[in-house]
Amino acid sequence: MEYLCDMKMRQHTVVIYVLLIIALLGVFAYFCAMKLRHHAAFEEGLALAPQLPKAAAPYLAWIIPLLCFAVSALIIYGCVQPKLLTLGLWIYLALMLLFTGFIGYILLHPKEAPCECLGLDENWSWKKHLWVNTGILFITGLAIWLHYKRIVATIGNEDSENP
Amino acid sequence: MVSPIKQEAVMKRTLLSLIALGAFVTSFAGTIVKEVMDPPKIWVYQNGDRTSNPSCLGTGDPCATEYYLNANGSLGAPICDVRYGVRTN
Repeated sequence: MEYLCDMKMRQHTVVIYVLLIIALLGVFAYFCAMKLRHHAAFEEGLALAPQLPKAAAPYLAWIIPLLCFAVSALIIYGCVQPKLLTLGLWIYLALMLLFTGFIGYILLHPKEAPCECLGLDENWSWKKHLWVNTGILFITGLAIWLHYKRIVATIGNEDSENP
Repeated sequence: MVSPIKQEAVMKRTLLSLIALGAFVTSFAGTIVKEVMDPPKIWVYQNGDRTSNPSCLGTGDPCATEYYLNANGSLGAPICDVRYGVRTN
């Protein structure tokens, strides 16, 4: 009976873990799509941001969405190779910390605020961006925690390697 | 010889990877389709100049409003939520 309860709980945790991974990928897919669709506006926004060197804007406008693509690919392929998933989730967390830190800086220095077109959605205020980013950070942290609980690494495989 | 347990684990991981790929592709394609279907918009400065990306750096005041753009190039309805419709960067 105890074993069955444990199995059921484990299954629920796996479902939560999969949903978290899907949510994280959905966020980056949305971000990549928006930044590539509005590439010119994104590049202009980067060039106008006083915190960033103007000459770097054309490169950053490509590097940022492509980096998000690469991290997403790492996470997707990492579902087969748990070590890559670990790497992907940590890079995801690092990127989100960087983006959230940037938003925090903007909110502390409102006179230097660039346009909202640099964020996840150009129609959101920077304050809303901060709340959303904090939520994504929490989700990423939870996904990493579940990952280290070997939820995915051991799905149906009790003798698998560490994630 | 790969054990059945190991085979099952590989199959489940592959399935998870396909689900993740599906989620990414769906979200990416859905966003692009939604953006393409959305009516075009344009930002207009207080002096009437139009831009796709207004620069109001350091003013601290509302300086541009976003409008829907009609097919003939004339301005349509303003995007009414002031918080979103006006940039104060």
